[in-house]
Amino acid sequence: VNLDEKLLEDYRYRLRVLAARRLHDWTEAEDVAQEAIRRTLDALSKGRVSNPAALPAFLFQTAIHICQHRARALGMEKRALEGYASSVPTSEPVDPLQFLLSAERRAEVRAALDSLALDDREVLTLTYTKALSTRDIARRLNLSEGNVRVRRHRALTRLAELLDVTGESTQGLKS
Amino acid sequence: MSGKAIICSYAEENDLAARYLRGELNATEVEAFEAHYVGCDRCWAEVRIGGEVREGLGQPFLEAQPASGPVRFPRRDFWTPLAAAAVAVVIAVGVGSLSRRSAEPERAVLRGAATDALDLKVLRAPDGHVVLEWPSHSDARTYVLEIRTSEGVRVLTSESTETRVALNADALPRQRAGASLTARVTAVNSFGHVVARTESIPLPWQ
Repeated sequence: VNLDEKLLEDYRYRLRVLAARRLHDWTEAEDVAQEAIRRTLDALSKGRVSNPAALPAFLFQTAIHICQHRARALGMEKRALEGYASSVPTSEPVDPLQFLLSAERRAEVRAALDSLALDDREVLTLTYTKALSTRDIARRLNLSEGNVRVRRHRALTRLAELLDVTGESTQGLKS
Repeated sequence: MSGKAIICSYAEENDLAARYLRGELNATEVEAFEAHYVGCDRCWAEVRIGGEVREGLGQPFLEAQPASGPVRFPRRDFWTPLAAAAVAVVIAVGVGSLSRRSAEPERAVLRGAATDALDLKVLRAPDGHVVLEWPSHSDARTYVLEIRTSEGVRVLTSESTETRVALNADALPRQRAGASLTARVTAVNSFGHVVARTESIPLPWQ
């Protein structure tokens, strides 16, 4: 199994997202992703994974396993700090999953969104920020579901180009 | 993944990427979808760019979990209810309901270990309709017809117990010059497993 730098980086991003959803923390999630990649490379070097098709499942299971251990450890740490924290003034609570992207990157995304056709931008906004199904969006915009999917795909592909998201991540959009 | 996995058309049909980012999937769906996108460039691309769009619009990349309750880890035997759901929701609909605006039944399709090849024939009927025909498969309970753009975007899905479908080409989205639509039929058994499928055949009249 051959894993080049770009592919590893892409897998790391995928694992980071699924770990963050479990651990509610991007930094912890980054640690999980790195550790899962390290263990996978180790398994590859020892011949424990030889089928390329099995690699994603191996990465996924490894990341889940590490997440479970981290969640337990974080739970113990939180309980140990509870007595201390109750006597210390706390600042405004911050959503631990906000933000993954840097402020600069978020600005780039906003600029890319602004450059899309109004209809395409509306489809993306409704898709990712409102609790609406494709069918709901189609009804709201008076389009067929197929047309909503076409517009969404077109907008995602355009965004990938504008944001210079290259490599494995966007191969699927270009197929 | 024990040889069973959700497939892209199921993820697309059920808006899994968007619902995942919005925190609307249950634990079973989350684990199945994550296991899928780790190995699927297409679905990962939608998660990644969709998440960045959310941040660009001032929302978190993804919602961690429904508001109530602690983070729970899905059970290991999560495929059992998924397979049961697949059996329950695979409903055959008639050819007459083939319309791009028709209400499509919710489906759960699992990929089996091996699939057979089916031969898809495309014919032009005297009344102008385009007829798609394929041989029956002994294990198939229903046949899923998908029409996609040349970029792979699904614009129509329909299920039938028949092995022949008449399409009104005028009802399909118009394609830009140089682009075309393709048709593919997937045979699904009673357990929601794919048992056979055709190649993707271009629809040349588009």
